[in-house]
Amino acid sequence: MIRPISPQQRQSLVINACAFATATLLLALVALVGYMTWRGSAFIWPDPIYLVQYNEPDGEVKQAYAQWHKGAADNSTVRLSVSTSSRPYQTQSILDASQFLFSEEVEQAAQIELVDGRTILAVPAAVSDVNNAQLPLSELSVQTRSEDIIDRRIAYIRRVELARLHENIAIYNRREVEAEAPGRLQLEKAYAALQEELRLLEKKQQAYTLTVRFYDGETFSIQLADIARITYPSTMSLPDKAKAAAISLWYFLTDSPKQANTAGGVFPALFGTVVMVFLMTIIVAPFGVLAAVYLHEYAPKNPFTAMLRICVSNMAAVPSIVYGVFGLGFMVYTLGGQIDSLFFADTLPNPTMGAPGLFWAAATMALLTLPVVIVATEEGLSRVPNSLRMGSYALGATKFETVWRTVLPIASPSMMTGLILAIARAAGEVAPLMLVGAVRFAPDLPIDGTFPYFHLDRQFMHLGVLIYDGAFNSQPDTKGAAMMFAACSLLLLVVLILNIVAVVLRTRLRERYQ
Amino acid sequence: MTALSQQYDQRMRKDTRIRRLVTLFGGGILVLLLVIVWHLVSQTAPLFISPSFEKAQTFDFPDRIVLSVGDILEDGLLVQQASPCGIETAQVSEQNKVVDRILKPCTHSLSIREERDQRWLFDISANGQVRIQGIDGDNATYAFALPETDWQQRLETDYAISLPHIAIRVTTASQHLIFWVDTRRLTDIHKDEYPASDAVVLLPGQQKVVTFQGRKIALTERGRESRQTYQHDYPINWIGRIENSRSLYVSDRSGKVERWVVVNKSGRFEYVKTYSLFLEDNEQPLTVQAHANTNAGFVLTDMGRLILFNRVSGELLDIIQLVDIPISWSWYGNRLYLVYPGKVDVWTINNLAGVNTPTSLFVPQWYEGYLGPEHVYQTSSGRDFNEAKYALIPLLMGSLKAALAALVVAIPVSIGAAIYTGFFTTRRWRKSIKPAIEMLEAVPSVVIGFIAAVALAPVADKLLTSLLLFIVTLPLLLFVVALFQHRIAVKMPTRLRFGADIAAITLCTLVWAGLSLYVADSVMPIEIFSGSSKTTLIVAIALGLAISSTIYTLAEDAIESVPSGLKNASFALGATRLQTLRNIVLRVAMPGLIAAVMLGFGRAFGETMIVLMVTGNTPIPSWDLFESLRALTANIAIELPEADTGGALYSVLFFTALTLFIFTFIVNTVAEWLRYGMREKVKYD
Amino acid sequence: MLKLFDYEKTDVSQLTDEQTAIKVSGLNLKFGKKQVLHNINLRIPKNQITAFIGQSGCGKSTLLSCFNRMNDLAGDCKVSGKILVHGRNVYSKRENVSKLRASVGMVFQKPNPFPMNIYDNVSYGLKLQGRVVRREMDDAVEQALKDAALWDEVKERLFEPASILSGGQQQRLVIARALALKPSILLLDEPTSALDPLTTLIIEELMGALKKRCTIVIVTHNMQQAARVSDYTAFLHQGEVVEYSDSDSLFTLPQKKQTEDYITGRYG
Repeated sequence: MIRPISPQQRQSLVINACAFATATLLLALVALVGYMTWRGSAFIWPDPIYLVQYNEPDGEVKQAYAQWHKGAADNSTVRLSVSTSSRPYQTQSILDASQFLFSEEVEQAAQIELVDGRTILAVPAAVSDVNNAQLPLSELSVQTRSEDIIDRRIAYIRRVELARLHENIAIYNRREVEAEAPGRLQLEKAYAALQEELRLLEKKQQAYTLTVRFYDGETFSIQLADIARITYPSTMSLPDKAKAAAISLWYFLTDSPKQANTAGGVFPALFGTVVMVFLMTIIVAPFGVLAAVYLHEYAPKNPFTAMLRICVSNMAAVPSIVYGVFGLGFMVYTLGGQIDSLFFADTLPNPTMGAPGLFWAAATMALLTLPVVIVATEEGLSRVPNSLRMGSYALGATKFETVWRTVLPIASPSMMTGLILAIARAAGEVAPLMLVGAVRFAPDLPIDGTFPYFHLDRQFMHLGVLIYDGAFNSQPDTKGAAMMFAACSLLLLVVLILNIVAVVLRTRLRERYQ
Repeated sequence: MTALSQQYDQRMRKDTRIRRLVTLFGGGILVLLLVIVWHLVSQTAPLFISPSFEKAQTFDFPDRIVLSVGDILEDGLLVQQASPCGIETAQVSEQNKVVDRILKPCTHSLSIREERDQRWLFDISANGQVRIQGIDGDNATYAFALPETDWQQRLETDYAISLPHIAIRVTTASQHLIFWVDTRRLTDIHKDEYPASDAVVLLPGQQKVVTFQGRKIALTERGRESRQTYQHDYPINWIGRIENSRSLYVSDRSGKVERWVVVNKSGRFEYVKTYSLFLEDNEQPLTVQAHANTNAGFVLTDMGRLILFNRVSGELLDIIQLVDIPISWSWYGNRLYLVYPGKVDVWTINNLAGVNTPTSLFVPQWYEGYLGPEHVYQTSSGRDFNEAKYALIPLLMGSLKAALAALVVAIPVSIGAAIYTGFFTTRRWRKSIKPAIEMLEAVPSVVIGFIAAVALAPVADKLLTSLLLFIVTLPLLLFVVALFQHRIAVKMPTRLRFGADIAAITLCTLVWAGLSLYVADSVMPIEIFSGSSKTTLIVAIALGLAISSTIYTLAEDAIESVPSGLKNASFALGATRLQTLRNIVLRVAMPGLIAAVMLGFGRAFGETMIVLMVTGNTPIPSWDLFESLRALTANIAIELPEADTGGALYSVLFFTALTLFIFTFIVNTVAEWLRYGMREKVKYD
Repeated sequence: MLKLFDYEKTDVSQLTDEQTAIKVSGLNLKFGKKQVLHNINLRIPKNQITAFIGQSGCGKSTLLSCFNRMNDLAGDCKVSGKILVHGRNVYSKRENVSKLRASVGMVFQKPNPFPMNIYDNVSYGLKLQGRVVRREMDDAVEQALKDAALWDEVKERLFEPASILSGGQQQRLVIARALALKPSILLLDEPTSALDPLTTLIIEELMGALKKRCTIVIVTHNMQQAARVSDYTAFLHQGEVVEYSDSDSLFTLPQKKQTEDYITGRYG
């Protein structure tokens, strides 16, 4: 009854099994990227606002404005983000499916995003000025625009003009100019004038309030100055939604994290990552390229060179955390401690370079990615046809001249590939950074307006570390997790794009010199 | 012409300069590696060097009677006798300036006791009024009264304090009177009586009293209601306790000192014997002291010997012979202060971190509170007199468990895919599929860990059941398709034939996976798995995915580089693709495949973020797939930021880093050697 | 007297130092353990074309590469003996190899132009010497291309990549590149074996024109080419010079039997 399997069928079985394995890997990749993007885009895509009616556990029937959550796990629970008069700033509500009664979209309800990251869902009722006079709602957009202008002016005064005055006063202090000098008095007068202007502006800023109403009729006042953005997501058409999503994306990239990494943006982490990667590239590029040039062009064919190649290959295989350990123990404590005792002895026992910071993080990552750069550069060098070298030597060029004028220019795309791969690795590697300077929250950016502008000893934020922190602190289905998913998508996107560029470069090169 | 010659010389010189520079950078690689190795080794070295005593200095105080010392080298205070009666605290670093003075009537009995870094002055008046006050730290004062008659009959006294309990022993001619006081209810004083023939040791922390006579030891609770008795094999001459009373040291006349630890045997606290230290004949300990934040301890004997030992493993570390026997002692960090009547000797202990010998890291140790020797990893902080538990076996097992589980997931998938794209499909498909799979390599492990922790872990139950269902039914599915596949394939146009394989399988996989997810709850009850930790499963999937790409790239390379001449020879003899695969390709590519798996294993062993984010990070030494684990790498990430430079934990962590380094070094070198060998073999093509 | 063949015939063994471009004395060369050249002694005459012929592996390319010390690059090469180029021993320790190679140019079998434009290719060697005056360089490039009989074909497209040129044009470009440095000796290692017969002829004509300004040594395995083009020919076998005389005599009346066997095609 059971026919023996023919060789063809046996072969088909094996082919199927192998094809299945391949499919699994491909599907895993697609699922990873797709899931990440889907959950991440929920963060920037506007959610319509509904009026939801449900049963409270105590039997009461409640109606409120709410938004649904994407990424809800299963069918038996419903997750809402609700704004009520007793809890105006969106709160999570997890309901059982049985408690849920009905919902309908509400067009007049607005999503009011505050500057501190919290959100309120309510219907705007009126705008009042400092005298409590009611203005029509149409004035809202006008008022928000003038608020924006005031905000910008205040920020400008603080950031530029006051800072400039501070600097000048500091210079005077250093030169020990006396308090009665006319220059100094002038500065102080200007300072006072600016302070006064600030005071008036801030008063003006706080003059206007927006009154909103919740479903139960209760009103709530919000200062216009506290509002970052008001949108009506239920009224948006698809192009509108796309535009709103683009604006949200912009905020995501330029804002700081707020509300414990559940709102706001990832700018400090992005900035920190970029600065560290830039610093790392400056360190690793010359070292890696020169080492590869030595290995390929200058090194004699003896066991010592073979051993060097083994060293490079092993350095590539060492777990990244071991580099972090080395970075912390040797670079931060030993080298940094030495530097402190030589150059920063007056600020001891507070460490300057003797503590984890930007420079040591960049140095550690340079060490980590060194093998990548060396291998890629060497590959590029090996693809330069030897006949070109011979041609150059025959014209009397020295070895350096041959390498510099002929070999390296041809190999430069490979060098670029190596650097790009190194950058991709540094952007995504987290373990060593946690030990040598990346932190969950850094109060300042590593580059700012105060001398010496480039703070190599500061701790910084990193996109990968932010994600790691997010995994530990957020629950999977809250709105806060959406921001973490967005951060994850951003990191994934950046790394994948870098890698694709590197692969394309490498393939084009191979074809060029085939 | 000369100018031109000069120019040529200039060019040659520049060339030589550059050559030197480039060689420097080339050699720099080796230098870097050596520096890394040297640093790791140097920071690990303390573990391999035994601690030793060294006499540092002596403070002479000829004009006073020193009672007790704090950490005087680090601005600690010295307690000396005040005149006419009382105590004074003095700051040694400021020319012995007196900081505080407590004068007492000379009729009072004064005594100083130290418990957990806090010194207390016991002041009892002639009629039994007790006043206990803290010296240089806790300023609390406790006052209560002992029965005057009892107090006046005293021949000998002893005091012990372990907040909130205080015990005072008053020995009269005929009995020991033990007074128990609770600082929370100072008026409520409990008195217990013991025969004078017994020797008594107070354990205030546990509200117990150890009494011994001959070979019998008894542990009696306050109130004398509960009592445990033990029989020792030799007559006992001394029993001591260390700072938290969880260990007792029982010395007998054979010169043996045994450590007993407290264990919880089905609700009752009892003491069990662990190791023994051996003294000379007729030598008896005067005291046993524990170090506050390492596993070190010392024994001071009546023959003036000071023995430094690991109080968990019993290993002896250093022994010195003192000239005189000190009257009091304190131990801070690596500084041991021995107090004599007119001076204080300071001994430093070199390399105190070496108390954690390599043996103690790998051999099961018997800790206080455990029923037997076990591998335990648990770090503690501060000076809490807890035993440091640095067993590395749980961490090693954790790493191995995770890596092997990941390999179980990764090997079939990646080798299967490698065979498919390297052997079965056409060049065109390979060109599109291979880079796509290699993209997986680029995904940062923190992203994989994030998804695993945040999206997979909550549905682990459901995932496990559906996965089981899927795996069980998969072979059946493949088999069914295989029965018909060839017949359908030969009817399809050639261009589509190869693609049809993978398209069909992808579709089927998707559909079946989706189905099994839906259907799982009803087919299998989920609850059989709830309650156990499914983190190992999730780690296996996530880590397996992460290393799949590594194994795939190398395995695919190996399979693809089998010379087509060999394959063609096989086909020409009439072999099917499967037969060629089995007999020729796999055999030739085997070293490359093994190398790929080894490198994948190395990568899994060294991976940090995924295990850190997905597992519960509890160091359990078990191979059970349903228990949580902590990996060696994750351990470093968690502990190193908080470890003190140069401390024991620091050295232990560096030791684990060195282990990781050496492990990956060996695996990588062997794998590279295998791959090199394979490349040489196929080179003739 | 009717001179049937109109050229100067000098006996190679009678060459004076003034007439010698390269004098090889007692040259032995080893690659590792293998001795490739055995006790070579010969004088290459100035402003003539000398050809080295022989079987594959007889050492003719190796000998050629000794003249500009390109053999140094092959690794593990041990040379003893002397090679005097214009009176200077090129294997002396104080010899500046860069300078030597600029004055002894080389053209390889497969054209190897750099992946740059034509102008940059030709001016490569000049740039190395630091001559950066644009006018001078333009003139030098033009002259070199004219000397290589390529100018007319590329003068409109000097700044296009060299890869657009055909094989023959590339080989002439490479010759121009070498000529730009005004070498006194030009070494050609099978320069036309990768080219078609028509292009080969063009290059052979070029060589004839070039010998007025420099000494040419050519390695070839094509005996007809050697007979056509060279004034003097050396026949090498297993690292030794078997016979060396003017081409006419060698090809019509070889003195050694080995030579005769090779020429008539009995082996090789």
